This record gives sequence, structure tokens and C-alpha cells, in this order.
Amino acid sequence: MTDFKIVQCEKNGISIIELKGFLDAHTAPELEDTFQKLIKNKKYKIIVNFRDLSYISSAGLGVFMAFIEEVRKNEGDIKLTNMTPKVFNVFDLLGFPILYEIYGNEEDAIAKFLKDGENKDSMTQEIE
Amino acid sequence: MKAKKVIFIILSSLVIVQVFLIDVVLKSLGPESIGLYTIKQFLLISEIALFYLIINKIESKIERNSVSKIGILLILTAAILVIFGLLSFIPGIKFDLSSQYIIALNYFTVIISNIFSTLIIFISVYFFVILKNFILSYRRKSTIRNFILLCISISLTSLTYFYTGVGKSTSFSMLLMVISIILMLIHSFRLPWVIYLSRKEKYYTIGYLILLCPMIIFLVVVLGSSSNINSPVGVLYYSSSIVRELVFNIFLFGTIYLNVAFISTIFHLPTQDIFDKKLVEISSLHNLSRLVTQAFDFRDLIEEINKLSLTVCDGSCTWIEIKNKKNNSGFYIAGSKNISLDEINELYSNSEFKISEEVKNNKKLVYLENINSKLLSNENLSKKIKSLIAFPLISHSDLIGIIYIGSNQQYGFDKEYFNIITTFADQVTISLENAELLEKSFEKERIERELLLAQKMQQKLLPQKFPEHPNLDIYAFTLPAYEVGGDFYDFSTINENKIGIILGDVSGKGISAAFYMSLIKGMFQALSKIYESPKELLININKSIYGIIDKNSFVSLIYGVLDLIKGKLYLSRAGHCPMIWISNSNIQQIKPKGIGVGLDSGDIFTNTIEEIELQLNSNDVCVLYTDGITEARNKKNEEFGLEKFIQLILNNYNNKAFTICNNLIDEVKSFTEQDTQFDDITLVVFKWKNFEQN
Repeated sequence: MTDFKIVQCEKNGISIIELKGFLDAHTAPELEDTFQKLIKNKKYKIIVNFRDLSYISSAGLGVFMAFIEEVRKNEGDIKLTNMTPKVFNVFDLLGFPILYEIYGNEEDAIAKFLKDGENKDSMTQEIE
Repeated sequence: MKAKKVIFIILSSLVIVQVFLIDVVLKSLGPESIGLYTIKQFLLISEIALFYLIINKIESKIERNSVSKIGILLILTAAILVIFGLLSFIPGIKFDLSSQYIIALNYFTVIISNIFSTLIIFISVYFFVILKNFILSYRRKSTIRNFILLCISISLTSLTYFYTGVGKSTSFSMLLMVISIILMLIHSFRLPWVIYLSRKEKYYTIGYLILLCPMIIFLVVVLGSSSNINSPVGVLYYSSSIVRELVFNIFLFGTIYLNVAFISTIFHLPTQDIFDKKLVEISSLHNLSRLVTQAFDFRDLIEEINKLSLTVCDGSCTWIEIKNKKNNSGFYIAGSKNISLDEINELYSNSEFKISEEVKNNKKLVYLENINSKLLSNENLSKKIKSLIAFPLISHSDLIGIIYIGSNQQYGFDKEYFNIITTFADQVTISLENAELLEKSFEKERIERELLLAQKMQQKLLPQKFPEHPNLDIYAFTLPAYEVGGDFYDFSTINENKIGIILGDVSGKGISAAFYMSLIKGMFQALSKIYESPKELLININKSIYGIIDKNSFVSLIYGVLDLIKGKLYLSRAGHCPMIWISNSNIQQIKPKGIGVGLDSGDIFTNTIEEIELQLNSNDVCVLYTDGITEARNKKNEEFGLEKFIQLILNNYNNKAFTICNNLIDEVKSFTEQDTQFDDITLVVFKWKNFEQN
């Protein structure tokens, strides 16, 4: 029953993780591994696409909590996209939209990443 | 059985007396009564048969070992020789040959002959029975058949002398004799008992046979060669030629059999050591296989293994190393015999001593045939260990231990034994694994007991009774998915007209969730008396929890304070499912803003959380729940769902809180069809009643 799949790719230096199926206590460790590997490779700009995720449990939510602090410390972020209303509802109940940036599609999230990068650059230029 | 024996004895006594009387009559009437002579022959045959039956009865009740059987044969043979000796010294025994019959020349001869021939017959039959017992011990299917053939052959040979005179034999009886001798030779190789004699028993047997063999050869020569009727054998001829022939045959068989036994015993002596060792090995392996099923205590098992190592391999000291499975920190010495732990450690500390490494690397038996004293600086130790074997215990190609066996002799171990050692090692491995499995199952049982205890503790943590107030109807229910869970509800009496109702869900399930749950329950009980506002309370719980809880864990809470006089409900939510409020068939999901507890260190949580004030109407139904209910799944993997849940509350709108609660839970249970519950389920239902209105 616990069908879960992770598809990974990279666009413009941003890692994109696509989730499929059920993310619960049984499958959460798989996602944890994926995050761990990204962080180990210093990839801190991460987009998680929820388009094909049909269910997420509290253990699944916990995975995002576990890594967000370290990612943000390294000037990266985990941005969430393409949530179905049901999955969004779970995130919404817990108040995730306040803690995470959630977008309708990948492009918006990528654009945000790129824009943040420019802002940072211009800020450093200003300081100089 | 006893009666039978008595009858046999009486019958044989009668026969003996009759034979005697016939002899007396024959003496007085002269040799012409052939009829009487024939009767005498038949009586003698029945006498032999009766003797056989009596002796067989007696002997079958006595358990004799092989040595004592030989001893009896020696006594019996000696007895006959004594009788013959006596006969040759007693004067006045005179026989005469008239035509073909022997006649006694005086009545004294008749008496003496009858007494001694009866004795000889009895002894011979006794001898035969003992021989029979030898042959039939360790019998096979063919043994009895062959033995009966031999008996028939001997009997027929004897019977051919029915009417034959002294010293005369027909060619037919000669032929039968040859057949008998062949059969005797065949039987003389039925000596399996010789193999099973211990060394001491073999020495006794050889000692007895050294005496017995010449005696019996002499006896057979006397019986066979002498046709002189005035020799001691004449007594037997006088009795009947059949008797003489039978006695001769019995002792001939005895001679052949015992001489072969003598030679065989001597030839078995050199292999005695090996045989003894094999016997010990077999019995120790047998002991070990018994051990496998009996080992309840690990220490006893090791002790027993050490004991067996010494007996199986004939060593002088032994120890066993076992892999430490708990923390994988290599091997430890689980037990030793005849060597102390200090001595073993001393041995290991010697850098020349590499046998352990060798076994560990190759997983094969290592044999140090001749250990020089350089390796063992300790004098005591070098005396103790002059050769050493170490062999691995392998389970699923994993080394789980090593057994060391030392001998106080150089070349102390026989390479022939290494096969058996492999078997031994296998048995030890199985018994060790068995013991481990047993221990695991005990451990599992213990954990299960602890979990049940935890379950009871958690149930005690839940409110034991519901708040009582005339304006309040409240009921709650919780069911963990496992023994313990992370869902909880609790009440707090803020003052006599204000109660706090909290419901929460710790992320994850089982023990870890249960710990956080009890923590939050404690905080709630303490803080609810200080912070009357639900918002303040949740903010403070979040502050306290954030540093403690795992990064990937969080708690969702919903907390309402109900003013029982005014019917006002102050509600705050920290990431939890909204409250369902049904007022006059108007359904509302009350969802004040707020993120889960433990997600944020403080600022975001504090800035986000809202507190809503609701004015309840009398008999409004308020339901707090965890997502275990709405996300309950059936076999088809369908969700119970929020809509169905709300509809059910609507249907039960007018019921008491207790009934609403039970109906909802029943519906969820029948939906999942008692399938495995995925998540904890918790529900609080309450109704405010305006007492003044009612």
C-alpha cells in the first residue's frame, strides 16, 4: 500500500524533488535520506513538487521540519509547489504556509530563488 | 510361570527315577529287553528336553554380562572334568558289552552311573543354554533361524545313535556330523559381544578363556576319542549313545566357539582405545543434542559445552570465546575449564600467540601439535598446554565463537577426530543460537509487559472523570493505534464556572509520542491555572516545548476555555484540526489562526496565534477531534472523511454527548471493519446548556 517515489532533478542550480504516492511514517525515511544527501552536497536551494503526492502524514511533515533550519542557515530554502488541495489542507492546518513558501508551480519557485539571489548580489554591491 | 517350572521339575524327577528303575530292571532281567531299552531312550530324550526348559526359565530371568557367562561356562566345564576325575577314582564301576548293549555288572554301578550321567546331562544342557544366550545376544533376523538349524542338526546327529552300539557310527551320522560342524563354525563368528567389552572386561574374558579353552579341548578329546566302556565316559555310553553324542556335540560346539572368541578378543585388544573413544564421542554428542533442547540458562550451557569439549576431544583444559553481539566489540571469554581467566589472558598477551587471529581470519580449525615453551613463559601454563586446537563456531557463514581445547601432551589430538569436532562445533553453534533465541523471546516478552504497563500508565494519565456542572454535558474517547499513543485530551477546572478543554496530537506514534504527550499534559495542568487565556497558554507551552522536542516532531493542540454561566467559549488552535460547532443545524468549522507547537521558537508562533470568542447557544454541539478519525481508512483504502463525520454529528445532534461520542466511534470502527488502526483516534464532544433557559 505504501507506494512512494522520489524523482530528483536540477534546474539553474536548484534541486527539484518530485514526490509521488504516500508520504507517511514508513516512507518518510526515504525522503530524509534524499534531503541528507542534498545537504551533504551543499545543495541548499531545494524545491519540493507535490503534484503527484496523494497523502502526507504528520511524520511526513516532520521531515521538512528536520532540515529547514540547516538549509536556511546556509542561505538556502525549501520551497513547496503544486500541492493538491488535500495535501495543502494538511500543511495549512499546521500553519506551514507561514513557515514555508508555497507556490502553485515550479517556475514561480525558481523565479523566487533567482530573484533572491539577485537581491543578495545587489545588496552586497551596495555595501561595497 | 512358577507353576510351570515346578511341573517341569517334578516331571524331570519322575523321568530320572524311571530311568533309574529301568536300569535296575535291565540289570536284573538281563540285556534281552529291547522294548525297555527303547523306552529308556525316549525317557532320556524327554529328560534332556525338560532340563532345557527348566534351565532356560532360570537363565532368562538373570541378566548376565558376557564375562559372567564365560565364568559360568568355566565352572560347568570344570565340574564335568571333576566328575570324570571322580569316576576314574571310584572303584567297582564295571560295565560289560553284551551284543550291542552295555550292561552294568553290579547295582552299585547302576546307582553311580545314574547319578553322574544325570549330572553330566544337566551340566551339558546348562552349558548349551549359556552358549545359546551368547549366540542370540545382538541377534539379527537370520540369527535364530541359523541357530535352530544347528540345533536340529545336532539333535539328528545324536538321534542316529538310537540303536547304534558303542564306538560305532554309520556314514549317515558322519554326514550329519560334518553338517553340524560346518554350522558350528558359522556360528562361532557370531561374536558381536566381544566388541562391546570394555578393556577390563576383555582382560577378564581372556583370563577365563586361557583356563577354559584347554579344559574344554581336553574334555572334547576325552568325550570323542574314548570308546573304552570302562573309562569314565562309559557312564554316558551306559546311559545312552544318544546322550554321549549330544554331550560331545555340545562341548565340541563350545570348543569351537570359545576358541574363536578367545582369538577374537585378543585381536580386539589393540583397537580397544579407539573403540572406547568412539563410545565416549557418541555418548557426548548424544548428551549435546539433549543439551540443545534443555539450555535455558546461558551460563549452564557454556559450562556443559566446556565439559563436553574435554570428553569429546580428550583434552585437559578448554575455554570458549563468544562474539559479543550486543555492541559488536569483538569476542569475550564466556567460560573455561581447568584453566583460569588470568592464564588465558596471559596466553593472549603473548605476541607469538596468533591462533585466535588465524581462526578468525580463515574460519577453520587450527591445530598446534607441539607448543614450545617459548610461547608459554609461565611454567605452570606450559605444563598444562603442550598442544592446542582451536576451532570456529560458524552460523550462516558468520563466526560466532571459538572453542579452544588444550592437551597436556604433545601431539595430544588425533587428526581422525577433526571430523567429529566439526559435528561437535555444529551442535554447539545450534545450542548457542537456541539459547540466544530463547533469550530474545524472553526479552520480547519483557518489553511487551513493559508496554502493557506503559499503556496502563497512559490510561491513568487521562482524566479519570469528566467535569461536572449543571450547564455542561461532556464526553470524550481515545484509542491508541499501538499500545500507547500520542493523542490526548484533558480538562482543567479554572474556577467553579470556567473549565478548560484541551485536545492534542503529537506527531508520530507509539512510545516517543507517548512521552511528549505526558510532558504536555503536565505542562497543561500547571499552566492552565496561571494563564486563563487559551492563547497565552499555548504560547507558553510552545516556548517550553520548542527546545525539548525533536526537530522533526511537533504537537498540534486545540484549547478552549468555556464560561459555563455565560456560554462563552474562548478558543485557540495550534495547528490542530478545527472545532466543529453545530448550532441550530448550522455547521461551522472554527479555525482560528495558529501554527503547530514545536515548529517555531516563539516569534512566528506568538504573532500568528489567534484567540476567538464564541457565544454558544443552549444545546449547541461542539466537537474536538484528531485526524485519526477523518483519515481512518478501510480495506479499499478509502478515507472516512470530514464530510461523513460532520453528517454523523448532525444526525446525532439531539443526543447526549455520551451517545454522540459512542455513535461516532462505532461508525468509524465499522467503517474500518476492525482493520489495523493506522493512527490514534481521539474525540471530545461537549454541549453547553443554558440552565436558566431550560
